[in-house]
Amino acid sequence: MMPMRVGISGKGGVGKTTITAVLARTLGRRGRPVIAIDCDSDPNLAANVGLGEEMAGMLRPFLDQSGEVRFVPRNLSPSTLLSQYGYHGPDNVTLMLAARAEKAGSG
Amino acid sequence: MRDFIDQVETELPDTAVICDMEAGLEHLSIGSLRYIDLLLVVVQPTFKTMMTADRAYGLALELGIPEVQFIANRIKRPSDVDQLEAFARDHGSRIIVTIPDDDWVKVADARNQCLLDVAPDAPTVEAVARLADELEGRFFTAPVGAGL
Repeated sequence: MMPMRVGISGKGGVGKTTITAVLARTLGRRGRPVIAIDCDSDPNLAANVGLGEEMAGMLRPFLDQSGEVRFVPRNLSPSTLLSQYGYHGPDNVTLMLAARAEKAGSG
Repeated sequence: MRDFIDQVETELPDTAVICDMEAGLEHLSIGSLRYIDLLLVVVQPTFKTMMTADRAYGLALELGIPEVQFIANRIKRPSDVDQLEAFARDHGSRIIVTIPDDDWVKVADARNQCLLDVAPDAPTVEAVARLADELEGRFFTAPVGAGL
């Protein structure tokens, strides 16, 4: 059994966030636990997944500027990271934010 | 430190990880989210999106991502499909799913809501269901509730 670890990429505006969100929710409502990670520097995945605007505004990235998991001790388990930085959306989807939003006034 | 995605595999083996990544694949370059098995690059039948997709493909190869496939989005006519299938073939790959042009996407965006909640029967939703079938079949030998 291979785990599903998929990235979705493409030019800004091409539709990857919509597709990522619908894919995450679709897999999730079939019973698959899903972690959706927003790696975009202009993050929009939270609202697209259906998290709600208030929650979407509260997201904290779990990686720091250098891309490392952002605090000591570094060897925290995925479950711990998920419980601290994951935001529970509909249909078994947990959202995590990887990147800090770089644009002022975004979100 | 082991990469987060790699650790998820060990500790939460039935969990799917899906990353919404920038075209420049920054997090993969840094190495913080390194272990993806498949990169799906979204393309439209436009020069700009194909150019960006071409760059993402090259980067993915450099970074050692095992496989890259393409999602054809906003398809309006058969010649769009032909064009993108040729593009995929030129990269030694294929189109994993074709998504038609879909006005519901704009409606969902305007409401800042998930497309699934706004229009559960939208063409994009139907196409992504097929993509989900494809991915479940490929990755998990015991698909969870693959609804047929």
